[in-house]
Amino acid sequence: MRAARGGIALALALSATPALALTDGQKDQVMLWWQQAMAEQTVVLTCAATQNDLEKSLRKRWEGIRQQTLAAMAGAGWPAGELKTLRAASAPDALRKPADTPFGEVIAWCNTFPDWFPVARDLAFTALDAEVARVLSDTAP
Amino acid sequence: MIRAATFLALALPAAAQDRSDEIAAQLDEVMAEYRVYLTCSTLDPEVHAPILARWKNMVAETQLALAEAGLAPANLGDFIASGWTGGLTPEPGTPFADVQSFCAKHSGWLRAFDSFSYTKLPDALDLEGDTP
Repeated sequence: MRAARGGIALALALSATPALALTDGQKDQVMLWWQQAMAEQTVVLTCAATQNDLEKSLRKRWEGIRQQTLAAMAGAGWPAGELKTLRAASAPDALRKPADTPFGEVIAWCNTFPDWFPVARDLAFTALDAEVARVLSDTAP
Repeated sequence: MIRAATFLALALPAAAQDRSDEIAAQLDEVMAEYRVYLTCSTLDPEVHAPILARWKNMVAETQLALAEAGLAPANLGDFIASGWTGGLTPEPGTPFADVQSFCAKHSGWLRAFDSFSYTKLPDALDLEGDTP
């Protein structure tokens, strides 16, 4: 019984302790990658919205990337509250132009990104998961 | 939006009025199909441009075919063009979500166009038998 209590205490202590010590510089770098990736996804998810198959595939791809990135950040001891905020802000529906945006505005906006389709088709956007993993791997234990 | 039936009943020569309902119905059907292509491609200029060019070419070919069949309403092109905004493409103020829903209902539109499965307007009007 005593051994079991000790095990629980140890587990709680470990879960409350960040796995790695993140520097402010690393946190800034990670957030800059997020800003870039979210800006790109805003464009492709909005401008592909009338191409159902492409939009579904982009959404699935982005979901995989962001979930993997968030998991890596959680593993590196990123504060849970900040991860929750980031998770909500990076959701596809949060990134895309609001549903009540006049379509004329959406057309004009998408026309300012003439290369959005080749970028989306070739998945040529920021590899957020890889970039964040690289930054986090620099963290000294 | 004026439907093709109304327009053609007014514009076709009296001798061709018996065909006007049929031609108008076919024209409306093709315009409905192109409304999907033209609307759902609007956000992608690289896809929209060839679809628009194809549509314009077909309108020109159709005018020629109608003329050859003696069924040429002088301003058919104007009629089709009059359906451009709010007819073949949504009004600028249409909510983004409405356009998304419309295009989601026709999710195979790009594949249909890319595989040349779209309707050819002059062929759809079936004017062969009308040639004088």
